Amino acid sequence: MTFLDNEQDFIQRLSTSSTKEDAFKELLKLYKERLYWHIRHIVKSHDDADDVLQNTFIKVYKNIHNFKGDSKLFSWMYRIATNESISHINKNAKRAQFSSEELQQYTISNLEADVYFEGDEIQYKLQQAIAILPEKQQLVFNMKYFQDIKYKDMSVILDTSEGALKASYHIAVKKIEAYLTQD
Amino acid sequence: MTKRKLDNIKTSGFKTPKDYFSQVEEQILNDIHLKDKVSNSGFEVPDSYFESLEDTIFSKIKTESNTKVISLLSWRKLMYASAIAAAMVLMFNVYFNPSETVTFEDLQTVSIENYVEQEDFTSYELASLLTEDELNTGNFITTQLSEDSIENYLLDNATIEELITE
Repeated sequence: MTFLDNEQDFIQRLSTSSTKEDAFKELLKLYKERLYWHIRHIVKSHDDADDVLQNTFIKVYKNIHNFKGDSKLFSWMYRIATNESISHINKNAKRAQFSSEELQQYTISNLEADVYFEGDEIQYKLQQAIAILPEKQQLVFNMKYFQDIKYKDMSVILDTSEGALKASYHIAVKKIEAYLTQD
Repeated sequence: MTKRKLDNIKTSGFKTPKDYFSQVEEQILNDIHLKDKVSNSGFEVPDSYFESLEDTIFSKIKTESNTKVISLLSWRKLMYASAIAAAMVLMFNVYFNPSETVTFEDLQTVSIENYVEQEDFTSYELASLLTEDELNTGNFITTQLSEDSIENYLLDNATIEELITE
């Protein structure tokens, strides 16, 4: 998962003001797409994903000096992205006076009209099936199914044991299968 | 000898969780079936979104760090804030003070006395507020007067003419 050869050096460059900008550009190049897709699968719409992605990188830039190095840089960034996505959803829900589950159902029902959703019937149904899962199972499913993130890495990002993650994923797959074949 | 020992070891000692093989089969098949049906999420991004993203983020960081930070606690603002706060306190006191019910015990005896003195009550009106029991004479005359003192009082203060006319 990590594409950085020497993470210690890289973090050093990120925290030194003279090299910060160049190092940050490299970081952007390396992670923008992966983080984008991670966020997009949580928040669903492109505009929300764009907002959250920018906030995530700005947070990384501003808080790099707080990064202790007790986990890998990518898992720290994924954790920020995950938290930002969830709080973005909660914020939207609060503004619309919905529960976050209601907001998710509403977002999914709007997908068909979304110009950046090119899915056909089955992909639309898949999104409906995901939306019914509990939050943690959704995260695990999205990360494993669409991004193929290793359980080992996921375990650091979501702060959950590998065993629990595997179980969550298989339960999620089973539920989704059942949903897709029910009619 | 060693050969015979090795022959005796029939298992490796490794074990699997209970029902692992029946579960793993189901899990793999579920996964394959699902991936056959839907391999991607269907989400797309606008053209050249990722190309322009870096510039967008950088310009955001720059504008944020260039924005002059104005302290929220400037003297003038503090003054406004305290003025508003004072006005609010006053307003609450004046308009929203819940009308406290004053009990009879809260009144000072002096206030009652003053009230009774200043208002134009006749003793009959006051008496009508009291019950028969409360109205026994013992409550009004606290000192027992001897007949001598009454006589002296009348001799000193009243003239016979007055007494006759009454």
